[in-house]
Amino acid sequence: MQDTSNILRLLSAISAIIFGSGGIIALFYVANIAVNRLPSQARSRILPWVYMTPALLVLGAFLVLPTIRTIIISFMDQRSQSWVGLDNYHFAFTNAAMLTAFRNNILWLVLVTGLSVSLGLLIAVLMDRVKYEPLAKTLIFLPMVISFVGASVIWRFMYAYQPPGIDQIGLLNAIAVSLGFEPIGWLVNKRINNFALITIMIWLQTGFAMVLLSSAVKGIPKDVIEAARMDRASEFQIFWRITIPIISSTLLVVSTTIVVLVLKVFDIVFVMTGGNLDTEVIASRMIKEMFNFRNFGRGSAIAVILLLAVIPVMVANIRRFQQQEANR
Amino acid sequence: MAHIVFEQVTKSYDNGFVAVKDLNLDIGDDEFLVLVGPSGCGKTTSLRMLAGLESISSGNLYIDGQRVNDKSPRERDIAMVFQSYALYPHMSIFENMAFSLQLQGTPKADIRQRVQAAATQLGIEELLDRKPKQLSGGQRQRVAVGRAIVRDPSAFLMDEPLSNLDAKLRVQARAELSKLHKKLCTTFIYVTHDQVEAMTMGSRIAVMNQGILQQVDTPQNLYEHPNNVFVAGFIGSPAMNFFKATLHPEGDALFIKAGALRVPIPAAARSRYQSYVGTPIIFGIRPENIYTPEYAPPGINPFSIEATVSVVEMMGHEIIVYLTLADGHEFLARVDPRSRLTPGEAIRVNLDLNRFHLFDPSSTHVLA
Ligand SMILES: Nc1ncnc2c1ncn2[C@@H]1O[C@H](COP(=O)(O)OP(=O)(O)OP(=O)(O)O)[C@@H](O)[C@H]1O
Ligand SMILES: [Mg+2]
Repeated sequence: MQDTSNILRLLSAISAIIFGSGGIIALFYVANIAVNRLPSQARSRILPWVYMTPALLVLGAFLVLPTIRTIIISFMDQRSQSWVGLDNYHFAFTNAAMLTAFRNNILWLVLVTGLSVSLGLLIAVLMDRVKYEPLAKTLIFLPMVISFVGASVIWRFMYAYQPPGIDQIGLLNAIAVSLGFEPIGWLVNKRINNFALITIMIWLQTGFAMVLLSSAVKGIPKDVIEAARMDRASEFQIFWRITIPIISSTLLVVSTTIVVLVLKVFDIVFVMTGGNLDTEVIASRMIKEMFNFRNFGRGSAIAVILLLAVIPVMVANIRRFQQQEANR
Repeated sequence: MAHIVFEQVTKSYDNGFVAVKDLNLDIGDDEFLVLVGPSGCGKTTSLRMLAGLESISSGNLYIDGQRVNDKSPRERDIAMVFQSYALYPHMSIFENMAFSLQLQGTPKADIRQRVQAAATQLGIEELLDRKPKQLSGGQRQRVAVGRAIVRDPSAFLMDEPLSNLDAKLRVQARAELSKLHKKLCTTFIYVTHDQVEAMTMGSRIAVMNQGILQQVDTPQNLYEHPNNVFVAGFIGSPAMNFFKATLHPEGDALFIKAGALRVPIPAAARSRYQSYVGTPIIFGIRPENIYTPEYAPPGINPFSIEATVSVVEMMGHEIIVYLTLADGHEFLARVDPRSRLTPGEAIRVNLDLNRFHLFDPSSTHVLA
């Protein structure tokens, strides 16, 4: 009984794949034939649309419509039954927990972006001259492949805290105690717990920044650096006046990518502290409103705020991209 | 205005490859020294050691009497024009040229004036606001030179700066660089593997092969008195013809015998070669010292030989003809364009016996 149902499921999955991809191919094939019948002038104008329409439709159905729906819900009450105007937004910008979340998020943005980009850049430039470059880079890149949740689990052990007198199982506290200090409540001390969480994200993102920046640094022609040396520039001047400007577009891409990631961060907070003890960020707050408190209105309002916060970053990225295209 | 001395300078790379071996070279104050040689002979390596971009494995390098082996490029006051031009891609042409002055803290007005002057001299004033990638190859080459001259360095190093230009532009740039040298009166060290560039620009030429300096001399002397087979074959185009030969005495006379060829040594030179009788030698004669009898100029010392025409290359102002001796040995002649030559035809040509060279095949040195 169980067996047959499994086989049936497998068959339906396979047929879905075959009919799904086959259907797409057939769709393009037929569209292509139809377009080829058209006069050649119209053809070149219509052809791109024929190929793009399915993708645009899918994008519209799964991305644009939900976004619009979220925006609408954000102006409605808890159950999405009546209009409440800007109430949800008013809540988002005045509620104490929300304000803490905003403050924390700004802290996250500045520290994670600033530190992982500058550390990544520093390592990329220094590694360029190191003999065991591939090995060293692999080690630094490694955290990148760990999921946020996985990384959080690892760091729970780093930060684990036992009251004084009991053996410390957390690495950091074990070190602290062996050096004669009191164990530190990394995740409960409100002065440092946010920084403890931010450290995890930096650990995760530095490798990403380093890999991209390192390939940009390697892309600078050796001649250009040597020409600067002949022009009597010091290594420091070469770094600031040649290296940085030449890799500036990569720097921007890396920074904006990390900014977007940080804006979305919630898993680390969720796993480590559950957002307690003043460690809430906007995204974790959104999850709470949405799924713990079942307040769809507020949850959606926070989602819209996050969306708006990402837009300037995206605009900067696209601008830069267009500039690059124009310069080619 | 730098006096540069290489003393037994050797470069061996990390992989153990010796790129330059025991280089001794004394470059005068306002000399235009050209470094030539085939690809991979160590020209760039020598230049980079002088620039300070490559460490010196052994030997000494002096600039104006001061040992500079351990000095960084910034302490050497030398400018370099790279083969790729290596312009700073993110800076305008003005900024490219002003960069070194800015680093020195030169006043702004001063920088503007010096960059402007250099740009005027090179004819690139209207390009100052552009970015390097908006320039053509020839324009980039000028900017690279301009970036070097605004600094007013004590020596200029140039690594094949014209190799990316088309033939016409190259001729023009060659003349401009020569003019620039006369005007600046500074030491120029110029790397090329183009012997026309070497001959036309250099006040002296250093010929290198496989990391070893072969000969340093004026273009004229290098052409007329090559030290060894390599220099003889490298300078001059088409290359000198070589024949494996021996010296035979016959009565009073001395003959060079090379297969079907039997060439008498002129009386005046006889005593010089007397001691080499019986030993193997290499007989060399340049294609331009072989004439068709009708158009042989007066004043040569003609010796007529027979050969078969195999290929005729009409160049307009001259004919390059491939000739074959009775024993199958092939050689080239550069003859008057009016000569009538048909492939397959047997003809007589005149060798100018005032201008032949004899070398020792084991050492490849010229016979003294
Ligand atoms: N970093 C290096 N490590 C090992 N060998 C090298 C290195 N750089 C150059 N060489 C070798 O040293 C030799 C001389 O190189 P160099 O670049 O000086 O030649 P070159 O005379 O400038 O040739 P070209 O006319 O092709 O530019 C070459 O055989 C080259 O393969
Ligand atoms: Mg070279």
